[in-house]
Amino acid sequence: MSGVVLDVRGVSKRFGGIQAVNDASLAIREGIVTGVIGPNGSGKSTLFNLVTGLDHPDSGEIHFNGRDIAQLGPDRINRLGIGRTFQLTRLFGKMTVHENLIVVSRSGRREAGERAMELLGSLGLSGLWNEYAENLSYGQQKLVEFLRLSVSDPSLILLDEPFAGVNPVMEQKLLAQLHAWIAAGKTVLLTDHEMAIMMELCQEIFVLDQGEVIAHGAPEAVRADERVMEAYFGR
Amino acid sequence: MSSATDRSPSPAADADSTIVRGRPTPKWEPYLGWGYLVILILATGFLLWFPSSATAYSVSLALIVLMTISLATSWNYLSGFGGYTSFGHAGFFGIGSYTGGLLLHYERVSWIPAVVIAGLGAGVLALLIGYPVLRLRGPYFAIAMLAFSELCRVLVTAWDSLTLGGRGVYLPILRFQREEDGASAWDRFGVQVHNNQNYYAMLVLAIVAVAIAYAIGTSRFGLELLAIRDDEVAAQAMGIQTTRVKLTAFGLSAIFPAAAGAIYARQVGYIDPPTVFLVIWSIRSIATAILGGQGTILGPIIGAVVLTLVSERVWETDPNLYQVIFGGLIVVVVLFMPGGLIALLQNRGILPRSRRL
Repeated sequence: MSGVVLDVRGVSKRFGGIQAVNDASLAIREGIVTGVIGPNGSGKSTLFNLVTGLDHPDSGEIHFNGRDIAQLGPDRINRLGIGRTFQLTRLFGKMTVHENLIVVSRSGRREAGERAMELLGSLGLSGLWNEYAENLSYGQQKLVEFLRLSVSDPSLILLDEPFAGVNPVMEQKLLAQLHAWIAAGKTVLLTDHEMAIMMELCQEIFVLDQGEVIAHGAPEAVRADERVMEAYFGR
Repeated sequence: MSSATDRSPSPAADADSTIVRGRPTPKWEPYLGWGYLVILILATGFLLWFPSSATAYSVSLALIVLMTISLATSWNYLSGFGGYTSFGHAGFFGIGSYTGGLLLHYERVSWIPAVVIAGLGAGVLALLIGYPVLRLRGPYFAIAMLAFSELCRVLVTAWDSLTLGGRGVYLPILRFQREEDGASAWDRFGVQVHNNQNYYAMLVLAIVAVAIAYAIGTSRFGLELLAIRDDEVAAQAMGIQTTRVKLTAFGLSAIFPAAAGAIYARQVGYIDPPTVFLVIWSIRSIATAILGGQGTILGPIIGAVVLTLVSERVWETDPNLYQVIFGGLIVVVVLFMPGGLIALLQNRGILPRSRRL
């Protein structure tokens, strides 16, 4: 049993009249892929925003490698080793692809350039080196966002619906990158609506409904859980 | 990076790609940096030599061009690269005018330290107000900086005991030279030397401003500003220290209008709050940078030359029409060439598309 890297303890977040996350506790173990599933509006994105510092919880604690990060800013949290992608890609549109990669690197300019070249080459995207990010297709933007994450080299990776709206060819490329991260020993926290992928990829799954964790465990156990069926299919 | 020239379409790129490809990078692109260096040295040489053969009018016109380069280039640091459109340059210009003007008026220091103190003082002030104000985005930041400029004007007007209020400040330089030189026959010569000193001061200021723009435009710091412009939340989530980056750019951008204001005060010999805190100083900086090309190094320089010479010509023809044409020009540029003159040249293939511009 590997150690817990991210420990979300009793976290709540309210927006006006909506309780987006309600006393949620999740323990993310090191070096595995953990999934968070739940219907739209169940609090997945809010949870991601709380962990990455884009929002701060009203109550509860978020410990990353034993340190409470609940009130830290997003740049601090990223520098501690948590990286993320967004549900809708957020590249720097009026910058070129290689600039998008270099800007988040913390090594020297030359080194960063070489690393960017190597990463783009690994996905067959070298031709896009000098292209403005806003000119890329949606799938290409997703890939470049994955590569940008690789450049900043976090130990914990949060992926917010990475497979939504991409074609099967692109999905294979994204999966290949994901497997490369797993092989490199990264911890991955993932949300998606593609159940087949989630069941295959994740070693552990948390189920959110209306901001609460209603079930967690191995994929098979979660799939068989009655409350999960109810939340998803409204039985 | 030699591989930057590799623009062949990747066979592995996905089928649904609808890439709009730019022009291929020309072969002389790698030598562009040296080309600029040569042009810079030639231009500096010309500008150093220029006053010795030109009329006093031409020198003061060139001085305005150089001042506009400083204003627009420094505005560009935060607002062009970082996307934080600021109307605060008038405030910093006025504060610099008054800092330099009053230091000279009360004869505390000689003119060069006065200019330096004015510039650095405004830089420190920008760091102090930037911390709260840079939390605002878009139009809110623009309005806050407009309010800052107005606030400065009101404070300077009200603080009568120090600033002489609405009466304005006479700078003592001309009187000085007359006393030192004794004979009134030297007056004309004295004015000429004085004029040229200010010209050279503006030249040095413009060179420093452009050098910093070059450093920003070719560094990761500049890329971080561009990232903040494109998507500040994503930039932060990717670990870019946005507050530090914005504050640095803001502090640097405040130094130049203030130092230019101090030299300007010395040039015109008399300042009062309505003229040095005029919103036109902000508009002029913004219009110049937009006309030339925001977020580029060359843009504000080209913009300053074109805009100053055009507006001088229009002013000569009809001072009333001047404001109308000036405003109309900005509207046309914003609507039809948002990338400015630089983008126009780049799209025609005259200049390569490169961050180094």
